[in-house]
Amino acid sequence: MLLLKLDERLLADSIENMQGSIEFHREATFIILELPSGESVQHTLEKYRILLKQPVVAVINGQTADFTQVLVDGDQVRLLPQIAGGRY
Amino acid sequence: MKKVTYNVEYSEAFQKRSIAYTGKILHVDLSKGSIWHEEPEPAFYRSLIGGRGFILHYLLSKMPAGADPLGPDNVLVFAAGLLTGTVLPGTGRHAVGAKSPLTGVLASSEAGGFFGHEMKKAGFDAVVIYGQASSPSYLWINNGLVELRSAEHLWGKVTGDVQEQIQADHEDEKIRVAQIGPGGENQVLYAAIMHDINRAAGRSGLGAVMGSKKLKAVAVRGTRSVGLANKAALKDTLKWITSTYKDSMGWAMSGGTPGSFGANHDSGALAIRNYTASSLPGYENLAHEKLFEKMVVDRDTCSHCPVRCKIVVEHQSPKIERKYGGPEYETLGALGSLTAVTDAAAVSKANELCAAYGLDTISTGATVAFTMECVERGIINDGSFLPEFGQGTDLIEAVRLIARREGLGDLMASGSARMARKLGQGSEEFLAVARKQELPLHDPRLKNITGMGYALSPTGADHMHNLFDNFANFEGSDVCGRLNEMGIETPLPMFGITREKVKAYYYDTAFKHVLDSAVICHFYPYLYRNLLEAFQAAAGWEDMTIEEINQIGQRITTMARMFILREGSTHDDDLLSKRALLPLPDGPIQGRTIEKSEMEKGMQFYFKLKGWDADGVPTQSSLEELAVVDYA
Repeated sequence: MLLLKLDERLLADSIENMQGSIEFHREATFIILELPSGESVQHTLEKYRILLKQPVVAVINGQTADFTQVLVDGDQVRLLPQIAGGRY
Repeated sequence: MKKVTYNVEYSEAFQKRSIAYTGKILHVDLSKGSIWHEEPEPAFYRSLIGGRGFILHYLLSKMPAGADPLGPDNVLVFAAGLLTGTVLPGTGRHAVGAKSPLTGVLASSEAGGFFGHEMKKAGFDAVVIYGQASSPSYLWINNGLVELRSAEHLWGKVTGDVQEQIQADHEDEKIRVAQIGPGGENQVLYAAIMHDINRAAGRSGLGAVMGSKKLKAVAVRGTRSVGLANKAALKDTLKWITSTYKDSMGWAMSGGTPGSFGANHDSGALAIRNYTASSLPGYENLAHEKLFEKMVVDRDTCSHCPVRCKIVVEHQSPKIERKYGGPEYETLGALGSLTAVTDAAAVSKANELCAAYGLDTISTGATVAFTMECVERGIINDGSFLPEFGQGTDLIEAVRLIARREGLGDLMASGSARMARKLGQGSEEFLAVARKQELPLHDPRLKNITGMGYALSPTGADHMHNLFDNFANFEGSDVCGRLNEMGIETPLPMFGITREKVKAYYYDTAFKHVLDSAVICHFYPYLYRNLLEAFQAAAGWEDMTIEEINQIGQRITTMARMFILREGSTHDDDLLSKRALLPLPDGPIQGRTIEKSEMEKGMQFYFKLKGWDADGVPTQSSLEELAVVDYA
């Protein structure tokens, strides 16, 4: 399993509509999701229908990472919003 | 000086609001005190669109090669674009250009606010300024009536006072003013031209050019609205924007550009302590949550924009006046993160002073940070003012000294690259510049293709007409949408300079040159198809295609390259200074850099895509294809 942390304000829809039956909890404005590992950041977001309003940078275990990086057990993933442009 | 007056009738099409162009370009020779106008052919407008396209046309055709940027031969252009002032959101922008005294090549910077829209309402698509006045002057444009007036009573004043004085002199608070502060008068090489006192055409020293011409201000007032050739043609794009902007621009509506400060710190996008650190203790003080809690009192916006992304701050001690707006992301990074000053009041005060004195906040902050490192290492050790990292009072004092060119400020007013050349002692190692211009706050160690873009940029390091790796890496971004329209599959890799990313840069920097010619805000996620619809609606170019839009962008990027080569730049200048690539020992971008060979390989592929030779010189056939041979 891995932990995915993102600001709830990034979400294009409510978290309940997006991720189905996956465990999550809130810390202030952040959503913390516990998700299975084994797929890339991109595929994990798609699989659990986590649609973001704007582009982000992925930071995995404190290091910036590509969205294609495959996630492994114990990974802690943060998605950090970036300015300029947006989702079309 | 003697008052000079000239009157221009509106064109019939503009009177009837049947096109978004006024059809007239104003010319002013300050040396001769003469004013005239031209009415370009439709083909001129369609091939260059406005803004940066117009700027390059006049620099290549009217400025003698090798002109002194601070001499009478430099040409200063204020240019609106096709879309400036139309009903489309994000069009409250215009461009300003000249030969840069900082980089020695192109200065072309865009500003938001209301000036560009007002200039069109007053009857002109652009104002082109030649020569040097014999005494301080300002240009007053009022509904087609143009006057060159004395500015003796304005010289030496800060921007807030000048705007109030001009509006009072003409008894009209709706007058929009482009002007220089003391920074421009004293020809600080990175002085800005301020609009509405808090919107800067900030980069590359345009304020110094205006100061060298003894032109204190350009004041405009117009009452004609900007029309469209076919309003109905804009229906889909307007509907799309009005129904989606609250989501797509939600980040701008909530935190504004400061909203990304914290995230950029945590992701390594924010350069810290002159590029030497991976984290900034106390950075939370500069994050938007704290700013909003402590000093944000209002929001501000540009013409025809519902987003209101700008923050307005007010503070008692130090006293910060709300009329000067508030710090944007780049400013928080340059004046705060680079200098390691985390006192939000000190950073906001420095921002206010930059607006009042007319200084580019990015180059100011980066030059102060460079100076702080020179002090820390004992390279600068003489004099009463020795600024230190983290000291807010030093930051504020540095801004004052730079604007007045007093003491150490005189040296700092020449920018970090010239400082290093003068100081020697290895200080070049601490520079983060491209073509002598200080880098914006998007770290090339994280964003590698952005780094290549800094090195290639005709304006020196610049984030505006650049591709951001993280946007090409994020499926669903506007960048990916546009790349898909050009047949490029996305997402692209976050790191490295791959051929696909260079190809993406080839398209995206050209697209952004079109945005800066149109002139339209980069924050709205416009795709080619939206821009096409907007162009068709504004000018009536029913047969235009997205391929033609790309071709226009390729034309303008090639003209920019032609100009910088003509002014002495070579492929040897297409580089980033060492500090900007220094691998860090820890943090989110630990060990990341761009290898020189990888950068060169990327550039060579870009040159090939552009039809340029291995030195980045456009070939004859590429000039012919883009119909720019006459500029060679």
